[in-house]
Amino acid sequence: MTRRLMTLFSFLIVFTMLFSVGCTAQPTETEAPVEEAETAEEAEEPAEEEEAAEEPAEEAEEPAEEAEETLVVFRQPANEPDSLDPAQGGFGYQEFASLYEPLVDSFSSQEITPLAAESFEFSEDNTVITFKLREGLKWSDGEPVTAEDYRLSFLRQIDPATAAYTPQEFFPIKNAQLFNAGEITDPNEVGITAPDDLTLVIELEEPSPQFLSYVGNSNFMPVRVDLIEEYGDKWMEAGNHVGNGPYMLVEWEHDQRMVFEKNPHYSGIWKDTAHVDRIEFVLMADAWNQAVPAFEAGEVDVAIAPTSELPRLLESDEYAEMVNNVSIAGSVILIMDTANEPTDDVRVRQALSLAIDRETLAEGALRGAFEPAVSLSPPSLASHNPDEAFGYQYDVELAKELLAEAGYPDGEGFPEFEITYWSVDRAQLVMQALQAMWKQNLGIEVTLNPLEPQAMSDWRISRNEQSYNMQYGLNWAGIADPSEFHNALFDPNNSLKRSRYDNQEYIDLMRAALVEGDPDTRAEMYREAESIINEDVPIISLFYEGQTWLIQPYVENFQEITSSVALMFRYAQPPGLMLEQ
Amino acid sequence: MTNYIIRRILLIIPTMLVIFTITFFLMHTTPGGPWDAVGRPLPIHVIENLNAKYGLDKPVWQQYFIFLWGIISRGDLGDSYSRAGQSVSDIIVDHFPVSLKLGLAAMGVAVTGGIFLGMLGALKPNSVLDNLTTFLSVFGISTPNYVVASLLVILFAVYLDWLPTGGWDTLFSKKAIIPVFALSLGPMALIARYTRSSVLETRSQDYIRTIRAKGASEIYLFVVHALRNALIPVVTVAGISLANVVTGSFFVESILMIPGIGRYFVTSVTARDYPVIMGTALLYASLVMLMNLLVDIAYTFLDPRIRYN
Repeated sequence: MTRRLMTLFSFLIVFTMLFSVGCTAQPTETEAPVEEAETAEEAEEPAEEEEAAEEPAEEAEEPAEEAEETLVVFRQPANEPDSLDPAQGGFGYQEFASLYEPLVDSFSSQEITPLAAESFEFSEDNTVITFKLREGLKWSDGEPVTAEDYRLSFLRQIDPATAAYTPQEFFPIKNAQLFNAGEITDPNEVGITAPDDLTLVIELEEPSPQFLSYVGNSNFMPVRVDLIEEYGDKWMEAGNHVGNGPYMLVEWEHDQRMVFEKNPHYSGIWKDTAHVDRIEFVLMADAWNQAVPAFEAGEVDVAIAPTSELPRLLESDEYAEMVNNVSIAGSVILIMDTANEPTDDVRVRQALSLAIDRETLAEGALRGAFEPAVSLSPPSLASHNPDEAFGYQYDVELAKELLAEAGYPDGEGFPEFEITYWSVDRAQLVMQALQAMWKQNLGIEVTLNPLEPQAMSDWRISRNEQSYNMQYGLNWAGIADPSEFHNALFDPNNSLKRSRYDNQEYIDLMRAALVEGDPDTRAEMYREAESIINEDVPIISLFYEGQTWLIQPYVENFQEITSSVALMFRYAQPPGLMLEQ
Repeated sequence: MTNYIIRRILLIIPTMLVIFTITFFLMHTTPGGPWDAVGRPLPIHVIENLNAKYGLDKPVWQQYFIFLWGIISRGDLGDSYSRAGQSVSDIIVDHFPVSLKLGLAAMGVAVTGGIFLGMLGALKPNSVLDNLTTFLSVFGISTPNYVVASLLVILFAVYLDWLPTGGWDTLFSKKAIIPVFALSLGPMALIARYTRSSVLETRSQDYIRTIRAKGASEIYLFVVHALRNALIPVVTVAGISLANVVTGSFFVESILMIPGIGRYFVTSVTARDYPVIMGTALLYASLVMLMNLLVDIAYTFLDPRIRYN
């Protein structure tokens, strides 16, 4: 009998063994609050939108803080932030501006205003900037914020061992580039000094008008170097993380959610405008498909809308008003190799650009989510120059004429032409539309070469030595400065050669504009430089980058910031009103 | 038997080494690197610094031995490139238990349900009941689990509003019902098919006829003799399915917002996150080997003729 029993249960042994393994392998679990959350969810009918907006889990966990205002945000880009480290940050990480405070604010308005600094002043020759910190600023653990904190954070960014993503923003600083390349190892030789607790002095190699805008960027946000040493890789986890921004990280369950609360020690200038008590980011792998249903169910207050859902949302009476387009200072571009046939001929480049119906592309293929380009750089940059932008007209006859002049009447004899792009949805849509437009308008057959995004990097670097026809790209302005479009894309000294455009007149002009001190002259020089590009089109701009946010009507003051979505949460007025009702 | 088990466990070591080696070189010969996502490309000097920080500037054979030595000497699988501050062990410890629990529950359902359905079908071959279970099995095998998950969400979460659309608390919450069922349907159907054909085959054996001739009741004969011998192929299938199911499903986890390990099998490859690729590959390989061993041990209980000496 024992044997029989054993036989019957033998296969079950396998599973029970693993079951016990599974149970012990599980780390900390919050069983109790979860159960409560379930009942809370049960009791709460999603009939009333206002009620549904409050995340039930919170109420269960913290019944005492029921009056707290929570803004629930479906985080974008889709999943987790890869990092909360300013050295690995980048554009579009809305978390950074909430957690850290740089010396100046270069996003809220066209003007650069002091933020953590109380004031800043330039020396006579514009090579030394002295920042005076606001008194009484504190980190979220109560420690005072000192100039030395900023100095150490900046040095950490250019330390080659940190391997920061954008150390080049620090290169205008004296000896910073050499330090980053490892040629100088003594940090005291770098032009960053902190003579006292509230004074930070930055010495530049040469006058650099755009440098101050960089100081407002995420790379210049301070971190607690002592805590990074103490906690090692784990310094970004909730509980260890300390910042100096209006919010602090209180919870981060990887792949599930991240919660910010107001930093009680914060005394900076956002103190009164940070309306939200608590921001909860929903971190989901498939946010593109989950965002809209969750928003419609009232589970989240703010979400981003995928392009494909827009037509339906815009047609509905209920949701059309909740759709908010936020422009971002970026362009989707096509880069051509101007040293390789056939695009070495300016007429071919012009013909290709003139034959693109940008309106149809933006309205049709992209469903109206983006503004069609009328000039290389987006409207928020001073270089934006749509006047008589030759390459940006839609003129098929002229395009045909130019192509014929270049020796390819009706596309006859046009060499094999390959476009390389990354195989993501939007690029795919755009490329197919362009392929059809060129075929129909010019009689040109182009080959599409989609690459996996990660393989695109190697491909780009290898194109420094090899010729190509055309590549798809996306250029963002990290700061609201035209150099992000001109010098960053065209300077022959850049590490990526891109279009190999060697018009010396243009190169001299944009290099002179970079260091020009007078803002008006500088803008005029960049506008002139841009008109050269708009005429010669070594790079074709297709449309301007943007994001479409869905915002519940009770969320007020959700500001649109021209070049970044980073600051929006400071302004947002979350479902507070409904709690008062 | 003990000797056999020890020998099998020792054999795992060279097998893992082969898997490690193949995965390592395959991953390094795949074009592309970990440092560029969609967007503005990183300057070359930044990529060089990053490569130096993570040791990717060394020749590949050196990286191979450094990585291997890290695992052997410290059990260190390295740090994720794309998730700053998280080591591969962190990712496995955080996310694997979720997939494991879901997978075990799903397999529990699959084995119970599969054997039950299979037996129902085998009781009266070609009857209405048999055709019904056959239909269910074919449906289960041919419908991918993400389709099942989506259908269940639409039916139970959107229309009926009985269950949440997604998310994860614990195994014993309403949020686990849809994923457990979606994950179990495929293996359940497979097990049902195997059980049915295996039981039918066993029933036509001579010794069954002998037992029947001795006057044993049909139920006794069926459960104790036919089923027991029919379980060998079933245990084989269930073992391999288990390794598969407990490592999660990219689609089901994505659709149902479950923080499991399944998505890392896919995202690590697309992001060229080398340490995570190695970690997930080794995790899966060790589970498959463990399950094979357990299945082989289970055979000795099921069939006294099988001995490993």
